Amino acid sequence: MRVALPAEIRPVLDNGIPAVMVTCSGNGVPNTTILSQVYYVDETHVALSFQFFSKTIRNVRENPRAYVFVTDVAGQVAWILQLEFQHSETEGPIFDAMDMQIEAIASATGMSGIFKLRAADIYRVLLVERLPYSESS
Amino acid sequence: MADSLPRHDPPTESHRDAGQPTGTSTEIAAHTEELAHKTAELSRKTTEFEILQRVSSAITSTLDLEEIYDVALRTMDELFEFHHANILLVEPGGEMLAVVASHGYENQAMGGRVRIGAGVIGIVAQRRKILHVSNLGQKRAYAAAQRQQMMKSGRGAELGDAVPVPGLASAESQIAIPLLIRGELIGVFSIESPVRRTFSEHDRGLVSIVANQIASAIKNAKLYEERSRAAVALQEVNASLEARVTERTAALQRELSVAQELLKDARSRVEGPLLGESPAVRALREAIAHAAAIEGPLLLVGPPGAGKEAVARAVHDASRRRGAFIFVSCPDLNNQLRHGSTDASPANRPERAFLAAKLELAAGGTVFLDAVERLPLAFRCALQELLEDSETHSSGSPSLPTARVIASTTQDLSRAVGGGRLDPLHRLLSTRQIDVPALVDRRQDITVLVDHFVRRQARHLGKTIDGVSTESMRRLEAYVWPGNIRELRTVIERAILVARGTVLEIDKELLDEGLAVGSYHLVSHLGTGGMGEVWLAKHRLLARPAAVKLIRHDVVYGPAHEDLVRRFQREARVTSALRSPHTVQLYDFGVNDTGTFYYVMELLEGFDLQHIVARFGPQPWQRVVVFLRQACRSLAEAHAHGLVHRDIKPANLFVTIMGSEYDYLKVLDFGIVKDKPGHEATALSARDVLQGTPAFMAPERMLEEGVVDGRSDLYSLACTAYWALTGQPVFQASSPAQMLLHHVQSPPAPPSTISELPIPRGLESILMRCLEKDPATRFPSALDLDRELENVPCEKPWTQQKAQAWWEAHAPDVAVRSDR
Amino acid sequence: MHKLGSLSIPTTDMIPEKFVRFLEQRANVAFAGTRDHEHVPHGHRVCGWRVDADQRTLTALIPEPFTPHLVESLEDNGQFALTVEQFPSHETYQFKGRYLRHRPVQHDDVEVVNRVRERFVKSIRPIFTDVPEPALKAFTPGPSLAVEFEVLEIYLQTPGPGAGARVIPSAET
Repeated sequence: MRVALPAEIRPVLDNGIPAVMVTCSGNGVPNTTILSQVYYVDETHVALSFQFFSKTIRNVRENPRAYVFVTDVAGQVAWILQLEFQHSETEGPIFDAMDMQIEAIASATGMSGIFKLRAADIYRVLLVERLPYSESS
Repeated sequence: MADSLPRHDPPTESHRDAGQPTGTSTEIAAHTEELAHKTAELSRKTTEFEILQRVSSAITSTLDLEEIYDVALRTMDELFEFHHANILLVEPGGEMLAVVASHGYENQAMGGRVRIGAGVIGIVAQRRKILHVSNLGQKRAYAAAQRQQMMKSGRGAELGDAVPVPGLASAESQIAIPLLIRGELIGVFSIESPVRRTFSEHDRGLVSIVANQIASAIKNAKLYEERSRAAVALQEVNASLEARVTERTAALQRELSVAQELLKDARSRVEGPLLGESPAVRALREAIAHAAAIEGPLLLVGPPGAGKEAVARAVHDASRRRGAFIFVSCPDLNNQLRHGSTDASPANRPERAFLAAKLELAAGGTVFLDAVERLPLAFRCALQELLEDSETHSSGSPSLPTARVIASTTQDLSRAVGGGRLDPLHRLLSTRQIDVPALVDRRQDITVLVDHFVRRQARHLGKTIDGVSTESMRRLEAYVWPGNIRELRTVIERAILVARGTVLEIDKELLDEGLAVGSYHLVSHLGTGGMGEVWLAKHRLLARPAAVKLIRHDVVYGPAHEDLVRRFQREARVTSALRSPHTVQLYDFGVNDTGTFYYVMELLEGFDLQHIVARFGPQPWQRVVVFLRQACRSLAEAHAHGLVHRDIKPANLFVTIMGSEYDYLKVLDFGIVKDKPGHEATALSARDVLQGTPAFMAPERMLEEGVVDGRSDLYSLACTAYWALTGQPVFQASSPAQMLLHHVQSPPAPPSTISELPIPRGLESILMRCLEKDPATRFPSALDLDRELENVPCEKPWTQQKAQAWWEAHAPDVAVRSDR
Repeated sequence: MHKLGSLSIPTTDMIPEKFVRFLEQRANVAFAGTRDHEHVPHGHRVCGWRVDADQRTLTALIPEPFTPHLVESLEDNGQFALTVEQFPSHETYQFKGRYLRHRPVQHDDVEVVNRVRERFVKSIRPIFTDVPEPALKAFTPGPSLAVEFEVLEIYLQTPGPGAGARVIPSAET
């Protein structure tokens, strides 16, 4: 278990297979939701898109801890990330990069403006765990 | 390379220390694998480097956009195996991108367009940042699920249509990179893969390298293209300018040629009149040279068309005056002033301002006043002032060069006009004078003048004329040329115009047309009188011959020109209404195109009384009475119409055969100019004095308060009879002035005292009464005179038989024609 | 009424038939979330699920690698949030409820997981054509623990602007 994101996780974060995110509200109710993409910021940070004011968004602002699960079907490996919400960015290179991605796909699919990025929530990576399928099967 | 590989010796401690592979096969295999991996990596990178180097070399070695595109896309193929790539460039307007080159799409993408801001490519163009999208299949599926969910939840209206972009609909991964030159977006380079789910960081780096080179190459190529277009456009502009310059130069050259031709023509018009070697023209050229050497006004005197303007220009050119030669037509000055003047108030003396402007315009040059005798009165005064001012200033050596005044006239202005007083203007102009000879006074120049005009006009009309026929040249040399050189030029011009061959023929009709007077052609010159010339003329249509009298310009042109014109026309109209058979018939009158007044009379064959007496001596008193009585009948009708002949003299009493009647007398030149009753102040009277008719002039014509009426004609008739009877004038005098004085003061001697032929007392007393100084003592009228003459006893009257015999004896040809 | 934190949830609602059908016939991917005593969230792959006869209880089948923190969290606070998805349509629902009990996996649990696996492989095969079937099958691991929980709330979790909306009980409740 490491706290630095390895290079091999980077393509998995953006492999198109939705990730799973578990958060917990301030009064202790967990919430399991689906993420389209986890954005690699650096070895110790990732960013999640804030597009709708959802339970997840509310939860991490009440309770900064978050659990993210990404899987690589082709690579036969899954990754578990323990994260801690740091702050939210509405401008800057991370926000721009995420916005470009979101807007490019949205405009290509006729959903421009609907899924507009409101902010980029920056998380610090607390824990990274690699789970090969052979181990999880 | 093989030699450099270390031998595989069993591992030793030193090997271990040096990091050399240790002994176990697993370690060796791992190491070998690692080495192979690194070798492969190195090989891959070397290949990539070589590709990039080749790309760089290929792209930078061409300025052809198509070649650049081709190199870039093939490179993508080499680097990433089979992939789809598009190069899009920003369209003018900056809102759209268009595919200019594609690879892997089988040209399906060519021409495709995408709005900046739409889709991956559009977002990249908008944000001007590279974008790498992976696993697009999953993301499209994810988005589709979102769309469906929105539809199911009733929010379908919020959804838009997917933006069609050129590229793979099933692309799994895509890298789009903006093509930037110094921050300016020129396009987007996009590479897609339907297979690879993602491009690596390394891939992005390679694409970026190639894209940057593409951007530079495209920019350079476009710059080159723009500059080439600009160069072509510049070349076209230059070519167009050159063509326009050439065309304009040709036009200017044509204008110059025309101007040179016109100048040559103008010069030849100037030179023409000065050609020749006759004494007259040689004297003229000497006079020109002399006049050119001195300053001050110059007057050129000569008949119309003699070339006075040419002489003026010759004087100007010979004087080497640097200023302009300004031509002023004096007869047209009033028109010019009306049209040109902006301030016609008398107070501002527009005439003076007009002339002063001309003088200023010609500063250092020459002002030529053509036909100065026709200068309107207001201009005369102004010119006089200007000339006098010029005389005053010239003595003080002004710094500015002045214009020289050269004037032309058809009359001799050095003689007195208007009651004997000299016109100051004329005095100023006449200080130096050149007489320009008439063409008839330089006949021997006609040949060279004809040659000159023929060559010039033929050149103008583009005709080839080798010469003039001998017959025509003879005709030209014999012709009298009343229009002088101008008329000669006109005749030549007309002849060339209608010429068919190369030898010019000038027939009689061509000459005659130049002498058309109204409806009459002048056929031959019959004589010259004090007022002009008399020509045999032929009506254009009628067979009836006529006599045309051309009135000299100086007779009617002068200070009172317009008044005289009116009077002439009125008198001519009145005269033409006279019906006495003893008054010459006036058929027509008018002004021809050269400004010459003329009147057309019946043509008479016979002799005037001057000729009869001069040739045949004093005539028998009976015959003279017959003549006198006929004259009285003519004068009686005229006097009854208020006309006074004013010029009764032997030359104006013409004796002819009229039908079967011999010694038929006709009075000629009737009342051409008649002033208001009671005043005699015309140039004509002065002219008469100067021309030698004082011998028959009534004394009251010389007196300032003299009343000229019909009795003046009776005095003149008596003088005429005196001369016809005696062959001598009433008074003998050594000068016209003396003659006039005799008429005023001296008593005439009775004709019988000097006649060799008998003169009855009765006739003599009649004549003596007519010769009374006081008109009141003469016969009151011509009819009274006629009655007195009728009562003179006559035993042997002058009969028709006697008259016939006389005509048959002295003018048989006339008698014969009269018999027909 | 079992208190879950500060929430008071009625316990008499049945899982509507459409969700039962979704669970039993279409859903092919699931994940559960818990939280420990420190409110640290934990996630657990769910390889299978079954709707119990009372249609109020769901049983989530958890593979071994995802069992850490599961039981102690459930026993601490009973909070369980199961999110079930049909891939690739991404139709997703979250079932939140109260932990009842856990037990070892039985034979029919394995059968359930096999059916889920089969559905998953069938759905993902057209997308991952280059991945061998065993690898696709490996995505759905075998169960090692069964967790029964009473469903108290059902949420729509299909990705989109409406994700997170509670459908059972309805929002007016």
